Amino acid sequence: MLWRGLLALAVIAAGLGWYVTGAERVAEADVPAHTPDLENGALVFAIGGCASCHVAPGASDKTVLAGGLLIHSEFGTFAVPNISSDATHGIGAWSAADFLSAMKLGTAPDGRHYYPAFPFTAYARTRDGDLLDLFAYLKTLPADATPSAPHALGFPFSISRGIGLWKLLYATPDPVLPEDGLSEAALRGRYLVEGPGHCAECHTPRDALGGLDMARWMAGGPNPDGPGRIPNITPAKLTWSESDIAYYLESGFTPDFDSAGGSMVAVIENTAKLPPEDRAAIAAYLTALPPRE
Amino acid sequence: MKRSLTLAAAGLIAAAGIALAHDNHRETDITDPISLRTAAMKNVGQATGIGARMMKGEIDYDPMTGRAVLLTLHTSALGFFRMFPEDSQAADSDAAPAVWEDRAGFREASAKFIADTELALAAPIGTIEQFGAQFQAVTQNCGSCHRTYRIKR
Repeated sequence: MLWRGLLALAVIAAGLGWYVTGAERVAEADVPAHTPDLENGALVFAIGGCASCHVAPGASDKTVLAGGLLIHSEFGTFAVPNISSDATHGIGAWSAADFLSAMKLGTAPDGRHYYPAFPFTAYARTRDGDLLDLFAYLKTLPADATPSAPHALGFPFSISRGIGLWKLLYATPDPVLPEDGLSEAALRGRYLVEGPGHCAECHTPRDALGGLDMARWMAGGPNPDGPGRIPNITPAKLTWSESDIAYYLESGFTPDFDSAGGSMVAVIENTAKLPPEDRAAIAAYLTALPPRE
Repeated sequence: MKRSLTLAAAGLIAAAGIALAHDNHRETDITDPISLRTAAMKNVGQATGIGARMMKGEIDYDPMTGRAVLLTLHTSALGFFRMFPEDSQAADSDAAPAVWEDRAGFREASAKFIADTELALAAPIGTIEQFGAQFQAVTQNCGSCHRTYRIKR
């Protein structure tokens, strides 16, 4: 089924033409004037979970973003790149437009598409001010000269230009949950969860082409990079109170004092750094989600 | 007839297996290490809950209760590594394959849980702040071990 889908994708891609698969960029002139707030940049770094993927496996210093983690997926193996402040091997020589292009459009400085293993589809919902604060913060972190390793993907995933079509199908900066009826806290939660927090990347199941199944938003599914399942966090299954959810995001403890496992441990290290009102906002959003089985 | 009965029996067994996998419950049985470690971890969770409620101010701090919490965690830590013998992987167990694939790492994490609970028991815990420092050091083991050695379902 996957292969039939891919064949269809290949045919459609050929039909639509080469230009459709080109990568968009944020123009220099469209970068807003902004005075960076490093403290906020550190919070965006935490909610964005940057360290969870970009710190080398086993490294104790969580500020050295040397890359090297391998993400094994059904599409092949993605090698997480160096995003340290090194000018040659990291992002030290990037302009703000390069950074916004990467985060909002999934486009590399050389004009190639990033694979959506890098969650730019979610980061696209992050405000420019927060992204520019994050960019300024990243530049304060140590440089590391480890070269980024290439991905090891099978055909046709190895053709990154196909991502241009994928972006047409799946990438949108629009919010997922409609604004109607959401409290102020839930709206803040929507921003954090759907945008920088990129929670849906694991908590929403994917279709055959690796796009999120929006009809089952946050309904859980197979773990995309390891054993086990990712839980459904809509009110259909997650019946904790808002304060239970906020406490979990602070401590890792469920209401039964079971503790988080797998990749959620790194997520909680990050959410524990947020101000309490942001954890409460995430809880307000999750409890306002439409229940999905 | 015999064949359909066999199929029905197989179906029942499969259904029972799914039910087991679903609620993750086993009767405590000294010959079944999965049941023992599951029960031990549940006790660790409940003891942690008592400590956390004191930390959150939901119940008053009492040093004897604090000590009982740490004793429960230490006692569970002592036997934990031995509850994961080679033949104890199962579909309804939340133990990650890494428990057996990375034996040395799992052994080290289990030993750290013992060492940290031992240190906590030797430390003064007369005040909630003193207890809090020890409780935090000890419960960091939950996440650091679960990150690698426990799967979620």
